[in-house]
Parts: sequence; structure tokens; C-alpha cells
Amino acid sequence: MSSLSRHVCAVLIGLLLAGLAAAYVSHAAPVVPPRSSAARPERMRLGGRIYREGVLPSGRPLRGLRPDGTEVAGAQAACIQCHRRSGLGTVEGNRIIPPITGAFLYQPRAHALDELDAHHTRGPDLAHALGRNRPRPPYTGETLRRAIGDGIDAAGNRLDALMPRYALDAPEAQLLLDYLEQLSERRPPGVTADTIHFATVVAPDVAPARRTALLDVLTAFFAVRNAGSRLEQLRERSYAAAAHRSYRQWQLHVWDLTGAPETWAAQLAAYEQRQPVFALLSGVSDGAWAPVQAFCERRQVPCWFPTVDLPAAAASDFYALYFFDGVLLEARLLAHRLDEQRGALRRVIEVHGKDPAAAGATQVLERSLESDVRIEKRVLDRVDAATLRAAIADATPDDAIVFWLRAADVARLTEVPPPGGAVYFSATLAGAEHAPLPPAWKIRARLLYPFELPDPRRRGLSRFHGWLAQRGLPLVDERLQADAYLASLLLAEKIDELDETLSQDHLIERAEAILSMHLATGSYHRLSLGPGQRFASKGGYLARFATPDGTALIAETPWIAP
Amino acid sequence: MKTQTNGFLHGLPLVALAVLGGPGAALAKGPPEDPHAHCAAHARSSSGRSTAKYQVPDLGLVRSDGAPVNLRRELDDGQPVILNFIFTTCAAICPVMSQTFAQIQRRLGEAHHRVHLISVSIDPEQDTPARLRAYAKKFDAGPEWSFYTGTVEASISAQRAFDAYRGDKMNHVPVTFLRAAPGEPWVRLEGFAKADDVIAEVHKLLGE
Repeated sequence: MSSLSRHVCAVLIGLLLAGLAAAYVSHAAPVVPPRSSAARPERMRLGGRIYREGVLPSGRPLRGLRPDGTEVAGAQAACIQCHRRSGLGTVEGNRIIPPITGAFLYQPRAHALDELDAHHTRGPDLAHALGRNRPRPPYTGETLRRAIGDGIDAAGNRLDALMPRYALDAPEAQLLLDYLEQLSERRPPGVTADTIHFATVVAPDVAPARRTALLDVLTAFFAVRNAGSRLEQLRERSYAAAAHRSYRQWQLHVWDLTGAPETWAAQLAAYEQRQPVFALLSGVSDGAWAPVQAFCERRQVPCWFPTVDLPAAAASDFYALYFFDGVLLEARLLAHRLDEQRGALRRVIEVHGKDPAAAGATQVLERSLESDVRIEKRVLDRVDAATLRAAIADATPDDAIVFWLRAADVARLTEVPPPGGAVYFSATLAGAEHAPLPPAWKIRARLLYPFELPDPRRRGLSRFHGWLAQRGLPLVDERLQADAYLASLLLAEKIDELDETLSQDHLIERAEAILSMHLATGSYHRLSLGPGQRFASKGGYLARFATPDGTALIAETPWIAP
Repeated sequence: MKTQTNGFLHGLPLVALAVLGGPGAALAKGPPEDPHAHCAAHARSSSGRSTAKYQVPDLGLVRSDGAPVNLRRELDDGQPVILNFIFTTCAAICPVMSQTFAQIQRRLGEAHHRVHLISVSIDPEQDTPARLRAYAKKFDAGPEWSFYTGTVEASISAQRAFDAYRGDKMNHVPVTFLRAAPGEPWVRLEGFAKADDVIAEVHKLLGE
């Protein structure tokens, strides 16, 4: 090739590359606003999209490459996938996913033992906790961009093989860096130097005795937690700095709701304005709960294991955790049972009053049934002996009847003769084995039972019963009180793990990661969560009464997780 | 540039990539691995290769199509088998392992019809057949890759049979198992086995 043609080629290639670069820049430039205080909200939104969704400002998917050549893109490539919403990381098997919040990145990491002083950001630095810290100097913007792009940490070492190397241009990388810098930096609401505020929500439909029973458990738990001599301040100055952890008094606020659920949002906002809280602990409703759940999502406040019949978590919800999903789980249990009997069944008749929990259950039953058995709903404006009798008047032994009724309404069956076919009751709504069923009905009744069976449950709850008795508290409602006790225990454990990094997001993540290792299972057979999971107990039994007049139960099925 | 061979960053002009330094640029030469980084050590899959005779118990599982099946019969279908343990809400480890299975399936080409990929859930109460089907779809699993759930007890038995039970799903470790045929020993690949390494093992098993 002549020197002239070489020259022409070089110019052409140069022009081509410049054109490509210009095309790329002109495409990317307008969507990322430059750094300024006015542009901060938009920049945080865009940085958050990269972090949480794996979507670049241009709308293209975030792309990364692992050292083994595996490509990841979009949601699979998003930082949140491993480092979680809080950015504080997690431990999975033998992999430590380190924190990547600004507070951790921009300060040095030493070997674990050298870090036990006041100069390091304290908190759930998991690598630190497990003594596997990799020493490194603080990141700078430059070394952080190198870590993201090339997989080299601030000390010049390769990052873990799980960590993709990301293709970000300079403006995109800066968006992400700015997002990481503020991540989990928000001073959480309801936390002062010496106090953490919690609230428990009581819905207006809850009987006063149950409200008192719940509050007694929580108050007693808080009293024990806050009692005793605390020597943290002394420990901090002592050699045994490892034993130091900050200590805050817990304060409980009772958020009593009144009136219609449509008015609850305003009531919750008013309570919050008076005293912001770190989390809602336990709580109880016999009907609606959706407005409370919506409040937690809106305000990013953990909603920690309330006792409700109809949880309202949507798939995308993050802040609410439940022991189980109430009547909806019962409806899936029933669907499982009825599908087993397909062919032998003529109809399924559902009987209930104007109760949102019952309405929710019927929807889930319909959705979950695989067999095409006919479902007939008998929704009663008023639940009494006459309407109940009329509702099942045409039932034959080939029909299955399910009563989505609460205890008070179940008691009205006294004057109604039981039908010949199978009859099912919701343990959650009817009061489990204490359902006030007349003897003639008890013989026929099958309970949809999403709890541990009474005998093993009693053994599992022996510590709770002892705790209650020791404090002179009466057993009023075992499920409610044991739920509140276990919720408090779990909260105390997780709050202590958070140490100084009191992040509400990370509180939820800790519950997701560790709950399945917990030995205490309260009223349930097994509790287990995982990333994104919101209901800890996932199954139940079909049970019948052992005698027409007792509360002893016999499981008709093994444990079923439908 | 190394990254181009992977079809990586296909939409991004070369100039921009050059300006950025390119994500693969440092990988080719790369600094030494931190000797303390045990994770990186696991990534060298060849160091975690062993063979073992596992006694697979006679236990019932549920396939993602809802069919009740027997694990031993599923394994003994006459084809070479590649097996792993996963759960669908797993954040860090399983997506990588499932992506590797997806790559194996793609790269095996014609041979993939002769190999059975098996993923058993270690979170079976959460991982209903429907959730497993959704997960399979996310990774473009073909008909040769099947997913299993069942009772917690059955899942634990299966994990124990392969010495892969670590007490809790959040304690699990990445490990892949291969076997040529019933009665043959299992190859155990500890850590994140690379798709190409697994495929090389498959060819060895197939005597190719």
C-alpha cells in the first residue's frame, strides 16, 4: 500500500471513528443532566435505575462481563441483584457480597482485628464480620470507576469472579458513583442517639381484650429489653472494643386506627408526623390491612410481621414481612385438596358475609383451582341461622362447601343442620381448633390449618408460655400473642446485627437472609424467607376434630405447601 | 479485543470502548489474584474436580410440569446427566450457575439432545412448579433441562445424597455434578464450573 493510500485510509478511518463517537455521544449526552443541585433528583433517579433495574439512561440494558466470559445484561446485571437494595451486601454460602455504599467505599479497610476502633464505619460489614476483610485503601472516584469497569479493587487486586466488569461511559459511571455515595446514608426516621422509636398499629375492628393482650406482650418485651445495666459506654473505652455496640432504648408507640380504611392513610400520616418510627412492629387487624401496607411502601418503613388475615403485599412490595399470607394460603390449600378430588366433586359452594378477607380468599381459590369444577358463591348480606340455612339448602353430598366465616358467625350454625358432603372452615378466621362449631358440625368439619398442629406447637411455644406466665400475663389469643413475641424477638436480633448501620432496607434484607436459620417458629411449622420472599410460612394441613366436643385435632394430610 | 469475540458491547462504537479502556482490557493481563480471596480460588474449577459414587435414594420429587417423579429414575434415563442445586429467589450464586447451564445447553449444539440437565430446588416450598417454570423461561431452558421441587425432606435427602447439604439454602455453595450413565461414578466440580469445562467433561463422558 502506498503512503498516500495509507494516509487516505487513516483519514477515512479517523473520520469514521469520529463520526461513530459523535453519534454515540449525541445519543447519550442529552439524557444525562450534568451535575448540579437542580439536576440531583433526576440524576439520582437515573443512577437508581442503573443500580436497581440495570437500565442505562439511554434506555439500553446495563451490560457486564464476568471473568469467565459470561455476559450479563439488564436486571440480571443490576447491582441490586447481589448487593441488595441497601447496598450493604449479603453472605450467600461461601460468597461474601461486600457493602458498596459510599460510607464503606470511601474509607480504608484493614484486616478485621485492626478495624475494631472508632475510625471505621461500623455496621454489617459482612466481610469484616467473618474476618475475611481484604485490606485496601479508600476508593477514589478513579479507582472506583476502575473497579466497576475493570474489576480491580483499590489495592490493585482482582475482584471476586462473581462481580461483572461493566461497560459504562463516563457520564453513566458518574451517575452510578453519585448514587452509591448517598446509598443508605439517609438518617433513618425514629432513631436518635439514645432511642429507637417503633409503632404498632391496631385496626378499629379488633376487640379490646385482644388489643390489650397484644400491647401487654409488646410492652413487657420492651421493658425487658430496656432494663438492666448497660455498659456499652464503658466497653467502648476498654480493650475489649470488640464487645462494644451502641445501645438505644426502645420506645413503643400505639397507633390506634379508627373509622373506615379509606381514612387510615391520613391517620397514619398524622401519627408519623407526631413521631416518626424506624419500623412498625407486629400490629393487628381482623379485616383490612392494605392502607397500612401502602403506608409502609410509601414511607419505606418496615412492616414487621403483623397478625392479619388478609396481607396485602404485591409482588413488587419490599417493606412488609408476614408470617404467612392468611386466608390466601388457606384458599391455595383448599384448591390443592379439591384438585385431588377432581372428578368426584360436583360443585364448590363458598359461603361468606361481607368480609374483605373472605372475598380475597374466594378470588385466590378460583385462580388456584386447576380442575374445572363449578364454583358457586353465596355472599350473605347478613349472616344468621336463616341465611346460612338458605345458603346450603340445595347442597348434595357431591358438593364441597367452604365457609369463610369468622368465629362469631360460625357460632350461628347451632341452629343449622350440617349437609351431607364435605365442609371446610378457615382456621384463621374461625379461631382454629377453638372455632365455636356445634358438635354436629365438628364431626363433619375440615379445618384449613396453616399452623403447626396443636401438640408440637405447644412444645415449640413452651418458652413463650413460660415468658408470658413469668410476667403474669394472661393467655388471651395464642396466635396473636405468640406472633407479637416472636416478631419482637426477631426484631431485637436483627437490630443488634445492624449495629451502627441502622438501615431500614437492610433490616428487611437481614430477615430475608437469615430467617430460615431461626429455630423459633412460633405458631408455625417452618419459617423461611429468601430474597424477595415476603411470607415466611408456606403451607398447612387439612385437619379434623378428634371428638365432637373437644379441641384436639387430627391431621388428615401431611404438611402441604401448595 | 477480547470482548468482541463474545459479542459483548455490540452496540457500542469502538472509539467509545477504547476511550473507556474496555471492560475486558484488564482481564487479559490482569493483576495477580489476592491470595486471601478464597472466592477467586474457587473460580479455578479444575482445582475442585473429584469423582465419587453417590447412592441416590429412592425419593419422590415433583417436576416443574407438576408430574410426580422418582429422582433415581429421572437420573437413570440412559443419558449423561448434569445436575445442580438451585433456588429461584437466590441472588448471587444460582443465577450464575443457571446461566452456565444455559450456556452449556447452547454450546453443546447437536449433542445437547443426548444430555439431560437437572436442577433441583433447595427451597422447595417457595419454588412451586409454576415458579420453576417461570425461572426456566428466564434462562431459556430447553426440553433437555428439567427442574424439580418436592417436600423439604425430599430436597434435603437429594442434597445429602450428593454431599451438597449445607443446612440452609443461604449457606449453599456452587457445585456441579456429571455422570455418563447409571452405575458410573459422578464427577463433582466444586465452585463455579465454566460452561466450556463442563462441556469438555461431557465430551469425555461421551467418549468423544
